[in-house]
Amino acid sequence: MAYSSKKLARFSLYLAIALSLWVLEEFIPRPMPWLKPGFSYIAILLAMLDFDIKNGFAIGILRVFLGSLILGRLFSPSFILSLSGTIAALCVMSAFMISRGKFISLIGISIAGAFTHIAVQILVAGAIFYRIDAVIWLLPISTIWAIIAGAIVGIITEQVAAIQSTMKNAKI
Amino acid sequence: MLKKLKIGDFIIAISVLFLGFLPLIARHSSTAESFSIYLDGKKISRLSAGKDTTFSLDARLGKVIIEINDGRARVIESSCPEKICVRTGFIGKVGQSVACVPNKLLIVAEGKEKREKFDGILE
Repeated sequence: MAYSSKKLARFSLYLAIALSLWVLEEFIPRPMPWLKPGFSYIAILLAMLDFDIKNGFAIGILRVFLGSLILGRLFSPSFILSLSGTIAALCVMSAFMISRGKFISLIGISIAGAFTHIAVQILVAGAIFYRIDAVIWLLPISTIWAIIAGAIVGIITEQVAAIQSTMKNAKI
Repeated sequence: MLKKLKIGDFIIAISVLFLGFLPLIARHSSTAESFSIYLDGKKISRLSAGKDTTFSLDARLGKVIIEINDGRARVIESSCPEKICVRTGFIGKVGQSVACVPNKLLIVAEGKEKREKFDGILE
């Protein structure tokens, strides 16, 4: 992939936003440690819209690697959970992203991504670290969280994308 | 903002909700077909729920006796200090379990075929 300097600057900006949101989110108090709002997906979804799905993937995966490096947990169990959840969520979101438009908005895509992320995390945690039937009980409450958080992220992304497109049309 | 919501979004939200609550719907409905016994995280035995038996084994701290009666299982005697496993009483529904932490013993009630396949994939 050869980037023009303008494109490289925008890519770096999206990565920086995703990364800083991901790391800062870690310090927000929350009911259970694995329930995060997932604001970094705003930057990932915007990157998918602005560039293409491949660049969105790159930002999502780089965010986990660099963020874990910053938080000092690279290759730890929680890193494995984050990475597996992110990859699964990116796959689902990009599949829906192709069919975006008439029937699906970013809000639905975001909800699907949030649910996939949390569900895959729970399944991987069950498969690797505990027994699956010990952790599957976390799924219902996590689903409610995923729908609320996913909808919030989707609404924000939709608003920012609308502003971006009006700015593009006005050639600012 | 709400104008942007499409039909697909509602379909996604509802199907996600359904998927998320699937374990709650699927569980606790069926009675156990068998009981798996795990010692130190390893499966050592599998007792059928249909046959009334007593099963004794040597765990870390000593002897543990498990009884199966009328499709349910319980620990009747244990070498552990607190006897939490004994006080748990009978289990009989799929997914229920008796744990004896000092002995590292776990008894899980299981259904017949589906769960066996599911566990097989994970292991």
